[in-house]
Amino acid sequence: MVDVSAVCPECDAPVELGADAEVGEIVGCPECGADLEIQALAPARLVVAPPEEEDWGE
Amino acid sequence: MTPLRIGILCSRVRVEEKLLLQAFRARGTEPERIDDDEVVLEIGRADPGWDAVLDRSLSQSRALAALRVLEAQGVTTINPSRVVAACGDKVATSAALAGRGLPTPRTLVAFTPEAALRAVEELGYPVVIKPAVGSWGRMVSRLNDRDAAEAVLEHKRALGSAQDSVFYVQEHIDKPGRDVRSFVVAGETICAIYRYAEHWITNTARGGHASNCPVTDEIDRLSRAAAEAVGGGMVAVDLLERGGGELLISEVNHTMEFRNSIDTTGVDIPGRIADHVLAVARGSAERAAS
Repeated sequence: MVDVSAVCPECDAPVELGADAEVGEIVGCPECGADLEIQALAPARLVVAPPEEEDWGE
Repeated sequence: MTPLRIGILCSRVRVEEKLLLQAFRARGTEPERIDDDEVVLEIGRADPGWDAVLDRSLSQSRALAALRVLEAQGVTTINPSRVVAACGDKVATSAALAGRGLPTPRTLVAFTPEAALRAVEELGYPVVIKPAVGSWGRMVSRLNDRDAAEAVLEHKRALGSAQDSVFYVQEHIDKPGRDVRSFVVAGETICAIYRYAEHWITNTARGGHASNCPVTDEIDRLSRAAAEAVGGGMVAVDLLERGGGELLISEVNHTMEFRNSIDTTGVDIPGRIADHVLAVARGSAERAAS
């Protein structure tokens, strides 16, 4: 598997995803800093990650 | 031997979930993701075939509901819903710990701002007020005087939900700029960290930093007892040090975060979790086969 590139839905910057990327993984946009969620791989698609909710935690 | 079927309940894959997926793969098992954004579970349907399901959901409400349905289907869950119920609500956690006679900060519960103010004054300032449900230090407040207490209680009344009318009021422990977090897996205290912060809230989610904490006999004893008290879970236990070295159990977390604790302690936490889940799954597969 090779590294894949996707586009930040917030600022349009290219975002490189490592070969070990997982669907559902949260990555940061190196340009605008937005938290992005990998929605699909091959082809890679990023969406803005949902904001933290009240019952989230450990 | 048929391969074990492991489910992981989660929607977002954070560093922890990624490390767990890698740990399972390194042990020859590809876990099946149960995405809590997508899943539809039927109550009472026959066992869907997982030998064990590991809960890594970010959402406590979703986790609790999903685990209850899975357990009714006969699925072995880690942690079981009883542990999530006991850890996810601080009133339930404190009650479970007190029921075993374990040391905790003194805690009062009240249901109106007026009664909560009486609880606050009973404990004396500074005092801590926490939402019964919540994590990562969200909405945890230290009240230094009556003005602050009245303001926070009034805001909770005006802006909060019904859940916020359970006022969890706790003695403030003057800890030495750090607290202790220990990790209990398979009934064993596998490691611990100190969490340091300038701020009185020492959660690493809030910018606190970590260093290794040797597991003393007392840390080990309290950590295992806390895990037992919440129903025998795989948990992270937060301990506060009071002057004189006395340790108090502050919180028990059922979906432990450990990204800052692996290099710090030298313990392969995701590996230990995967080993435990696989051992439990093997046990449930053997029971099903016999």
